[in-house]
Amino acid sequence: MSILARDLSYAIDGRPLLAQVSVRAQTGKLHAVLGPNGAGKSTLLKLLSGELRPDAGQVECAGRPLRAWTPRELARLRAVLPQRDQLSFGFTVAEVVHLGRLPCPDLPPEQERAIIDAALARTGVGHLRERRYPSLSGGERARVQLARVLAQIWNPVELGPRALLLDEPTASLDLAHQHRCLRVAREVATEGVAVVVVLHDPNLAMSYADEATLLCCGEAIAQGTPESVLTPERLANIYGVNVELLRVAGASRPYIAVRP
Amino acid sequence: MHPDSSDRRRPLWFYLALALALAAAICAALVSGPVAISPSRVASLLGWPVDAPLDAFERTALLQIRLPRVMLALVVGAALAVAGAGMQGIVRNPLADPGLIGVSAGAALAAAAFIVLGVGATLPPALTLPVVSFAGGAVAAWAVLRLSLVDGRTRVATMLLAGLALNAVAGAGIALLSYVADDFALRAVTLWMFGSLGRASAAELTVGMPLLLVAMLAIPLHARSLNALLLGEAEAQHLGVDVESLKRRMIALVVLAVAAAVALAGSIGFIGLIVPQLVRLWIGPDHRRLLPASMLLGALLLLLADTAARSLFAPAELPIGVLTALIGGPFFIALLLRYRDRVEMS
Repeated sequence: MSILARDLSYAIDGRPLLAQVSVRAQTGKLHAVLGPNGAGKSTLLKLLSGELRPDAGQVECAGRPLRAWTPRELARLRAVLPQRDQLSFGFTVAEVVHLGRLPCPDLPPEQERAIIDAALARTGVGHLRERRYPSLSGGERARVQLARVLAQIWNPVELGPRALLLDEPTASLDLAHQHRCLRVAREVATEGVAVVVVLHDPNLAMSYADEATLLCCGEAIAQGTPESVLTPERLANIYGVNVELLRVAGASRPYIAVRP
Repeated sequence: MHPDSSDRRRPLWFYLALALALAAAICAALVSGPVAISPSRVASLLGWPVDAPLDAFERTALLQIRLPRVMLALVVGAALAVAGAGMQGIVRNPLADPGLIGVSAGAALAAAAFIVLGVGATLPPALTLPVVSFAGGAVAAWAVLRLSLVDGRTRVATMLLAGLALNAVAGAGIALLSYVADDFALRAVTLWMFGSLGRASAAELTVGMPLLLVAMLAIPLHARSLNALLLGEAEAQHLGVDVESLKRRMIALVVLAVAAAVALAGSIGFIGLIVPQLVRLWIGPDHRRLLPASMLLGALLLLLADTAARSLFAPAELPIGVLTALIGGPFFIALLLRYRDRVEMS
């Protein structure tokens, strides 16, 4: 399900957080949103998901304005993973992932269980199945939440293309799981999902994204393929660090190295 | 592996034990009282064959005094517990209590004003005090909810703060009323505030019980949405839950349950707070199990408390609110100490 945002602007108390930003997330593509702290990445994601209403501009999902969808219809085709994690009640890991199935049409219990197990396995938390969620580490929780949104849009192929919005899913993950998370996001994209993911690490975007939007001070300063967006000059400019592109043997895309 | 993770997946034993305990508690409550009636003779009401059938006096004691009181204890206990569980789900905090949104305080203030100042005396006498206190509770909760609406959304933190302020104002109002009251009114206010399951008239029960039952039956319909809400409001919205409408409907039901319970039996503390907490320790936080189990346990605990309240110092009767707080408080602390790491705090 493609997501099209046109000229989104959003301000709080007269202070603009986002100005005239347009984004197009296509089915089958992984779209990364990058930018320094306070650039408006999370605001953009909240506008795309409908959690915030834009002051100007419009968001369309599958060609239909966001407001024309009922919450339930949207939840069947689109999952959103917000950044903060508020769950403090003692659900087991499997129960948390099962909560993701709330909007889905009822399936026989064994099929539901299979989906939950597959989602858990996909994010590498199958062994935590019966653990209580509050007892998990931050990284484990993040992977369980990712499994939950994957389960939500698992396999309704007959319902058509879907969308997945992830706000900094790699924030509390170790190196290996950061890559696993992006690998899963890539796979999901190829299964017919438009994926939008907010990232901090330009190298993750460089390695996995099809398209990238670079935000700075609430404006989209570059959009396109990661290689065309994440140029050393631009990164040096907005992050204020010295950057060099390295070619790694065997990798199709360059590696962004920051000189200390 | 956590020890509680496997056994709580099978709540069947939990329900069964609760149902058995409830049956035993109902028998005990019917049997005990100033007139001793043996269990088998109580059972003769259901057609159980006995040598000495109940005389008219015993029948009256059972059918018109004990049975209505048992029913009221069951329904009020269940309603308070399920309202507490619902409230805790709405604010995503297991330590929340329906009293936080000002229902009990508003009801108590209205009742005290009625007793001391005699306002609102135009209604039929049997129903006046409950109607006044119900209205007081509902108005207080409505005021708190209006105050907590920010840009058309109910903000939970503001709601709790507004409830806190309203509790303080109501407390001051009751203190002021007590100060100007004569001895008779003062005693009436104090007794009313302690709560009792023995004072509701048949007319009050006919009006009040259906309200409690409606709230009790409607709250569990929202179990799945409440589960999603525990993830967070944005998360629940993204799972297709209309969060604003859920919050409003749930709060209305909680207010209905608590205001009706307070109107019939006065403020009875701790049931709404402790019961869901206990149930969560045993069978986990899933509202589809938590809400019905809370009703069973709430009914059981309040019935036991009431039977104890009227038997311990018979013929004198302990105020039920005092008893639930007296037992509930230390019990709750013991629970916190024992399961410190497992009682979830947000």
